[in-house]
Amino acid sequence: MIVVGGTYDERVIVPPHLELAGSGLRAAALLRDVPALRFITAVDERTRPVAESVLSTVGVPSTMVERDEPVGFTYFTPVSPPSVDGPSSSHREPLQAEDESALVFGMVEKGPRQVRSKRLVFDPQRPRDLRVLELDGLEAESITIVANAREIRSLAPSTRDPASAAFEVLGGSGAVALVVKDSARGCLIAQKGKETVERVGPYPTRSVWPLGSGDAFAAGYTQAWAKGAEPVEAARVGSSSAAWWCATQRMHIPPAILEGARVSDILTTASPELRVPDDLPLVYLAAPFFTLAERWLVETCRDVLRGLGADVFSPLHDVGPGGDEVAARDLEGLERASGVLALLDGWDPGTVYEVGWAHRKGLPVVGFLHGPGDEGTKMLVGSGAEIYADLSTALYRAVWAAQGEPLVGSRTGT
Amino acid sequence: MNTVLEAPVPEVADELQVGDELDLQLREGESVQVVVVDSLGRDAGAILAIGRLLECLREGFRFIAKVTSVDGGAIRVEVRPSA
Repeated sequence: MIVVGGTYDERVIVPPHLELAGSGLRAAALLRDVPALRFITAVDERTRPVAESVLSTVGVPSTMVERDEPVGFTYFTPVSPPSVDGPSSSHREPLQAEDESALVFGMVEKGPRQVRSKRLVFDPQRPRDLRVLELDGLEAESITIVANAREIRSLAPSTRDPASAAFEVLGGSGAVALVVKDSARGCLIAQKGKETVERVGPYPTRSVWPLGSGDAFAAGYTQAWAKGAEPVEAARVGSSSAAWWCATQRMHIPPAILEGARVSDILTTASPELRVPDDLPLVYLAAPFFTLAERWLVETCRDVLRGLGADVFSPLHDVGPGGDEVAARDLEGLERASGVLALLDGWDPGTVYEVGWAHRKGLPVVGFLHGPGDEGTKMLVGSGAEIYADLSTALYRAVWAAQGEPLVGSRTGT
Repeated sequence: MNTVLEAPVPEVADELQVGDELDLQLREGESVQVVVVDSLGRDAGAILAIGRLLECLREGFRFIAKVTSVDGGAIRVEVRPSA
């Protein structure tokens, strides 16, 4: 198998994190046990020795062409959109490879590529401003497109229904299958010759490091599909691989998962596949919004929850500030919700009231508490809430809980 | 920096406990690897290079990797400059 893709610095501000990865390097490392694996990438003079060291440590042979400047991504949190360093980087020499199977990621760098294989998976890796699938330089008997929901919406902007959008993009691509990575709702699979999409659910984990989860999905999918699995089964391997990565951050997918074992059979912190409902879950965002910092966090969480596949009832956005009259309207929203994400820093009385109300109604509650002092969490944890100091984990757990994932009263990292 | 120990050497890594402090050393061969060594001088595994770590180690700066968790086969370490 060949993996073609980027090698980029990845930096996160909160929690502090720095690694040399990028989709290509990460996927190659994750697939290190695949026989005759080869990684094709572009590096600059400064990055080359670090990349060579990393690839030597993980035992993956590589071919590196020269690019003219480094490329890096900086995220404020793992769920924030990144800023990109080196967006005009380019390489002259082609990324060239041929094998039975290939995983090709879209790259930041501009430059030629010539990849030939029997089965090829292409992941565009361009969540913003994707207008066309750039399949230039790719030759294969069968292609699967693996893209995230935002990319598919960009490619089919006039179609609101995700299934119709998937078939529209599939029809114009020449691929045999298209897999839509749908964050906390798993993925959708559209296949040539079929009229309906099939869904594979996520494997919820007790901690979530989402950066790179899509790369792990594509890696698992490619290996399973290359070995003959049908696209739906390959997507289950992809989903299991993504969960493994999210829970462990280990750049090495166990061979058992690539061969079809579910991550929940291997990791005690992973649940079996979650059968998600057809309708989007409604998450109630309980939070104070009096200061700029609080308001900023509410806006961020609302955007991310929606990106993860939830509808959100946010008292700030859906009712607005006001006097005593807002209480009844807030609670009407809570009445309709299927889960609650509570932003607990500062222990705002209104937020705590909403959490108690939700508990009495039997709604699952996930709390985010980043500041010091967890004395106030006793009642919440004691009544089944999960409290996290990690924002990414709290957001994913809230969406999963709203779709039926059982919670275990606990506090993690607080 | 927090990272996971790569290629743990079983007989050494199995003895590691949270709080143990390990040395980082450059191992030069066909390519350079950052090896993690225990207090007895035994290889415990390696970490993946980042940023300017290779340059700093070459220039003689010392770093330690402190074990922060041992979970099944996964050993997490926090890498920081040696005091």
